[in-house]
Amino acid sequence: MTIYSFWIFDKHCNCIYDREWTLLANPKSGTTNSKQNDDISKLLYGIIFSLRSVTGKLSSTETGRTNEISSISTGRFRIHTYCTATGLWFVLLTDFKPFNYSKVLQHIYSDIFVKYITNNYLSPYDFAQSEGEKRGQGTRKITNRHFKNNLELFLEPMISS
Amino acid sequence: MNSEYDYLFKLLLIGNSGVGKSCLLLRFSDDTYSNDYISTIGVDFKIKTVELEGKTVKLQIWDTAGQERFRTITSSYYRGSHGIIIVYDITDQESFNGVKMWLQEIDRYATSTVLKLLVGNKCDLTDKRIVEFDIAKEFADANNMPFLETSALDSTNVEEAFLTMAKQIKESMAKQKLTDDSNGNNNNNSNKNDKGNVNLNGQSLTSSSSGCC
Amino acid sequence: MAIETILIINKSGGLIYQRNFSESFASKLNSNDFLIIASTIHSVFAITSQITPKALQITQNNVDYVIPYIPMVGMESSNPQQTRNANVPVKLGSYKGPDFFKEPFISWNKSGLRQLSTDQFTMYIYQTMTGLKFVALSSNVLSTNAGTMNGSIDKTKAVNVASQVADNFLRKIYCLYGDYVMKDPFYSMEMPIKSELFDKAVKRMVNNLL
Repeated sequence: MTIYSFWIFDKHCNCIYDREWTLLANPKSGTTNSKQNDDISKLLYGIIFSLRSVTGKLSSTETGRTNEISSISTGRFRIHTYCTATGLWFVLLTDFKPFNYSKVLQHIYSDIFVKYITNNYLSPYDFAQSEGEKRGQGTRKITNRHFKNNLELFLEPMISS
Repeated sequence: MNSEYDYLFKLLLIGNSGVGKSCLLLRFSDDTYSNDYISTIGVDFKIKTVELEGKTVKLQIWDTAGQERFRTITSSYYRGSHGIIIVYDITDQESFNGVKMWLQEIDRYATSTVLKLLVGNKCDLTDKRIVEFDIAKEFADANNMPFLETSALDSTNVEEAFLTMAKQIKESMAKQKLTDDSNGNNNNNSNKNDKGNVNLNGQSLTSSSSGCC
Repeated sequence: MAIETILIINKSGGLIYQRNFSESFASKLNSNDFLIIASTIHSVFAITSQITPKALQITQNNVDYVIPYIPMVGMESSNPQQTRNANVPVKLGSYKGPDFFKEPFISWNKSGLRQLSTDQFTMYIYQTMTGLKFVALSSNVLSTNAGTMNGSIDKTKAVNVASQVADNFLRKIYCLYGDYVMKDPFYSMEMPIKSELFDKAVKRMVNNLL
């Protein structure tokens, strides 16, 4: 399994965390919360958003069943998504090797994000800067050191193995 | 379910951001869609079903985003479009200047026979008017496309223009079929042979800059 | 693999064929909804190539796009309910032999959307060299470990087995398209497909697929 990048989007369509590995042999390489990833994060968001609306329309008529996207495959990589009830999206770009990444994303949410961001009094509850903020215009990112370190520690063995 | 319609025409709506493209056709389409695609994938879709000579025609309008960051993506939406509507804001000179750039994009990405239409929006704001009707009309004539002014308050003339466009597309398709059928017999009209060909020459920058301003 | 819906999207993003094979999905949608779904898929398809990860951009593309031939996908002989004499040749229009093709083929879908998995269904997209897209909606939900079922995991293979079956199947629909739609003198290019023969042939193939 190989991981290319990891993203978190909040309910205001903002990318609040991005991490991309450029040299797979070196897990310390790449960028974190990079401005260069701005447009890519918007396009990635757009892809997931549009496909979610497609799957929403195509969902079964049986009520009470959700129709969440688990993965999107392209010719070169695979996108795994995990959506929380609070409207956060955890997204992982990987290669095609079969591996259950939804568990990985779930773990990142429940054991790392909740611990260091949600349960952290000093961390903002909402990453939007103001109430009237336009969708997708926010620039605030997760900068919590513990979150970063633990995420790196958890993903490091998976980046290239 | 599949045979509900006989023809599907692709119409493209382009223009700088903020000229009110999306408002133009709000009442024109079959349903009101609450999609928010345009801000995420650079395009939104509106559909109008019309009857033409006993055939059901679906006009699918691709409403594209004018923002710069979608430029590379929206250009891929030009492919195979039957008609293109360029919109500008009569209270905004910049948006009218942008029309020239959009025409170049059309030359580059669309087929040479695509039908074009120039629309000046927000003509209800007469006191703020900057782009004069005559100038725009002259520009449209020089570029061989019909021109009209409209507003979101009353956009019936745009809707009429759309229907006219649909008729023209259907006629040109019928014509193309005729030339296809009589291919090799006598093609006196060389104009017809141009149908559907891609313009490989590109645009000449010198001749297109003579229109206005 | 139970097919629920088949869509064919032309190269400019217009929906030219749509057929539901069961009532469970999408039966509440009208033709406009499907037009929008098809064009959305087309647009997303165009965007996916723009978000290729940097690590992939700087490395050599070592993905293998050859799709292996999987015998008799969607053919009558693959359906045990239909007992037929093996000596009687199957009629495949202008295609000779027991199957439409017998060799592996190259997927032209190198950077676009190929597969979409959700809790309820899996969507497969096969793109032809000319930009036509064949989309199949299957009610089978892929387990995330689906690729391991053929024993060995090929490191460079871009797709799992289910996706290979889908590509084989959709390529056969493309063969039918070539036979019934392209050879129809009354068909106008890029316009909705209204051929009954094509419709029947597609239906037969879907029914043969288990």
